Amino acid sequence: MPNLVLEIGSEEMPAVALPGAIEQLRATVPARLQEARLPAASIAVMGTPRRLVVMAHGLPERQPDLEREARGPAWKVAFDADGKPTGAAMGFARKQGVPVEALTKVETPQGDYVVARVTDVGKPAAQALGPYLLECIRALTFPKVMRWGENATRYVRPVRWILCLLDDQVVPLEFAGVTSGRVTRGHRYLGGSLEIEHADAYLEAVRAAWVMADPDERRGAIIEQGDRLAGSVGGKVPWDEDLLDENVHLVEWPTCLMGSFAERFLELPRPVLVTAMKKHQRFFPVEGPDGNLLPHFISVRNGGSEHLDNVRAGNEAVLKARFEDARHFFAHDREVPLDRMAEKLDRLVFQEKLGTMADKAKRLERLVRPLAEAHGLSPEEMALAVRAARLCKADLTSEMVIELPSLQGIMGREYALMQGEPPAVADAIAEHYRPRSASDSLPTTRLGKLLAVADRMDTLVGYAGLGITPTGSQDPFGLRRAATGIVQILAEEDDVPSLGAMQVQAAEGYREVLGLDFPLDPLCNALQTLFHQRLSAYLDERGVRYDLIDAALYGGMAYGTVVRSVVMRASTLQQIAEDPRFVPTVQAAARVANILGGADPAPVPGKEGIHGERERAVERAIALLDHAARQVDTARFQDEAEAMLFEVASLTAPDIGRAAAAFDFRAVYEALQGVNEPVNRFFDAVLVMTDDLAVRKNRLALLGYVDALYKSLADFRKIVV
Amino acid sequence: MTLERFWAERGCLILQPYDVEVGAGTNAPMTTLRALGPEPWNVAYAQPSRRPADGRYAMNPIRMQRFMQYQVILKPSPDNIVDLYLDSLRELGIRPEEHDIRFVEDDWEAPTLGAQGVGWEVWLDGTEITQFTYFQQMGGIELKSVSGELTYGCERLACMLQGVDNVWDMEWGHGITYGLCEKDFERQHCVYNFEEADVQGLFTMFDMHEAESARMAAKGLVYPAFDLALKCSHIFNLLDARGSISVTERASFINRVRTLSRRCCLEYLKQREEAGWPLMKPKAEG
Repeated sequence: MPNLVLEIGSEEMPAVALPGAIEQLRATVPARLQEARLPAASIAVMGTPRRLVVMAHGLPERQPDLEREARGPAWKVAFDADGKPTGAAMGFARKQGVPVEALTKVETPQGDYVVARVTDVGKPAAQALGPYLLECIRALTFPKVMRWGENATRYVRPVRWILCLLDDQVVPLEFAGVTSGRVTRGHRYLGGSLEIEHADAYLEAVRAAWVMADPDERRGAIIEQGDRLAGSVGGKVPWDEDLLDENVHLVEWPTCLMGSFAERFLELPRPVLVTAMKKHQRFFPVEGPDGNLLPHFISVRNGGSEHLDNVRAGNEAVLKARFEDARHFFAHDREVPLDRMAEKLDRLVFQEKLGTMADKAKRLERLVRPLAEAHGLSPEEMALAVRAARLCKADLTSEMVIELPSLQGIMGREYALMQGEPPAVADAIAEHYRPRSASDSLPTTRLGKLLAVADRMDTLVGYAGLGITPTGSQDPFGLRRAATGIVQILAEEDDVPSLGAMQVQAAEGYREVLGLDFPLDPLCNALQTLFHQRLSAYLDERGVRYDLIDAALYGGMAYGTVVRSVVMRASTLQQIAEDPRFVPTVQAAARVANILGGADPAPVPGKEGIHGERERAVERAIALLDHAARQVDTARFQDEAEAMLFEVASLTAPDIGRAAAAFDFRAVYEALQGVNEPVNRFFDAVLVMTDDLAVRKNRLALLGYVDALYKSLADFRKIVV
Repeated sequence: MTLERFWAERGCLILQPYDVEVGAGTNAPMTTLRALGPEPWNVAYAQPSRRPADGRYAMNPIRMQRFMQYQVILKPSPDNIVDLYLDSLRELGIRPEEHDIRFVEDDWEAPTLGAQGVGWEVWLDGTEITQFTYFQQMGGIELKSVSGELTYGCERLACMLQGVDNVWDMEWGHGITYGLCEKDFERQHCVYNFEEADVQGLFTMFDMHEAESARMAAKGLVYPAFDLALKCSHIFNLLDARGSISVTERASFINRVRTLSRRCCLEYLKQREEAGWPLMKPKAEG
């Protein structure tokens, strides 16, 4: 069974582009080979900055023949009344390469058609593969593509060679004006052009030319060498995965070296040193057994260990210049109190129509108060929250952050501690930027969480107020990420107000600080759509069934969307979906909801109030159910089943209201079990849509009451049983 | 200089620096305008570049408000452009196999020109020595014939070749250091850029040059119009260094300069097309 190697050689691809491209080829190559009727026994995809490599083992020698039916013209067009073939039949037969006599008839709903049985004779693999592999290359997507020379093709970087061999035969294909052959290139400086005789010789041949094609091997080599070097000074490398990935994808042959810097730079805060090493130079720090930094760094060179001293000297000189700069900024910033830095925020625009960062800080000071109250913070903690809000953006005007923007928050924390702010304030300043991405850690302190939510909600409300929400894959202002951040943080918080209530408060901030009057309804509706998407995505990632997510989202809407409550509903539904009583519950609830008809219940933006304390929530939940109960007139009951259903509902309602407000949805489910049976009996006994309009109205009101009970847990109509 | 001979031997016209203040060699018309259209264009030139905000009163070992770029444009970019570039380093005495030379992704953008490119920073043992760019857009116009642009940082290269880590200690020739000749120039310009420049006067000048550039472009006088746009760009940089432009105004100033450059680019293309793309003919002009 022959083996295949495909190598797309290019100029240096960005490190960030490589993993995605490898991932894509892992998916597309097996699929295309399958389509080509040339499935491989195994496939490996590798890559370096200058090449993407596909190795497929154990392909068939040739494609098997394929028997297929080709459908031609309608039968009555192809054969005349006497059954004689017409021109259409002869043309079709000729095109398919079969005699006219071999045409048969097929009956379809659209009428009878002519059919030819055709055999596609399989080609030898080396001849057949080209178009399918080309398809894989063409299908590659990158964060950014380019054109070069006078070439119209777009690719991540200019394509310079393509090697494609099936055993010892060249598989012909052409991409971006480059024709495939058996020539590859080694390391840019250490290896030249190489002719490869046989696919099986490829890996060893490029290795001899200083190319480790496999990223995992390069990663292993870096870790092994780095650990050894750091060990030689009694230290270790705190490996940063992102930086490691980047280094792996920046070199074809990694050789680590250790350099040093003057001890005096260790006076700088650790994040400054680490960031300067990482961001500017892609160096790894070295730390001692006590976890403190040592005055050394590990750098990864692209190549062997010859002339390593040149590289070390160059690396040390450039790092020294970076550290000198950082020391200059740090010394300068230390002279400026944070409050003074915060004042300078009025020169930093947040968004053209939404004022400066100073305005944002003012709004945050305002917005954290009700949030802190809802969290039940003491007056002392409240004061700290307000202080943190005032200072949280201040470091954006510091020289260090202007130079190294990724240190935002981190420098704020350093400077806050240096000027004697309480640690809770300093931590909140650092934490309010988290999570920076979907995979980043969440804030851990109460104030950090609070400020993180307030900051994001302020941004979302501001942009939504201008009519800007993310659409499709476009999210230039990071709004989707902001909403996801709020969902992630609040999913684990018990005592928080609904999203709608927070939006109203945030909008109030824009009115107070900037005199901007956002129309609330469109704003809250747009954000509700966004938050529902983010909540769905959050729950989906956690393996909740799709229909259960919808049921959880649209249930309990009368209370407003409280993130934690939706998450708890969804996880409860997921648990009880296996319960034998689940399906009857869904059916009973759906019976009720279906006859009521109507659209998804709409929340009432801003009507919920921001205070999220338990007692108030319970009161509100029970009040809502009471309201539904009061619409029912027991005097109009005509059947015992009606009275029975109402009685059971009334008895159950307080329990359900209390449990729902406490996010104890398992208890809600248990309480609902008593309702299913009376519901079914009600439907068996009475006709809801009776001609007596008053009775009909009353029966619908009764069902509305029962529906509110079910919806305390979920909108059961969304569930597929 | 070595680079000049090297690129001349490889078919580049050797040009002299452009005589209007520019922020980079890219802004000179022999790059900006010539990158447009299908005509081939291979040139090399040194270009003093002014970036007022980068001034450090001659106190920083490497940052200055005026520095020298060596600019090479190869249009269309040849297939062996990276090899050519590495050969030019060898010519300078830098043997790639004895160092660590890396191509680190760095996509380039010049908002005042409406220009975008894709490419790398080239690192020599960790220091950026060259910006390597394939132009994709100029004046907001998508380019079909792509120029490869190599921009060498002359001071950094010279420091590395001489083994000094401070540009002011670099020997310029005959035992005279760069610092001895240029420190006063640098310091005085920093004082002007950051402290003394007449802000109101600069705003007025910006408006004047802007109007004049638009007037010239309307008359089809592309080159004067483009010079005036460059002057606007430099005045904007000065105002920026003076801290006289708020962030909101910034965007609007950038937009105003881009509008001027774009108009010049469109007009240039129109004129070249009417002239039948003269450089497409076998005999190249100077």
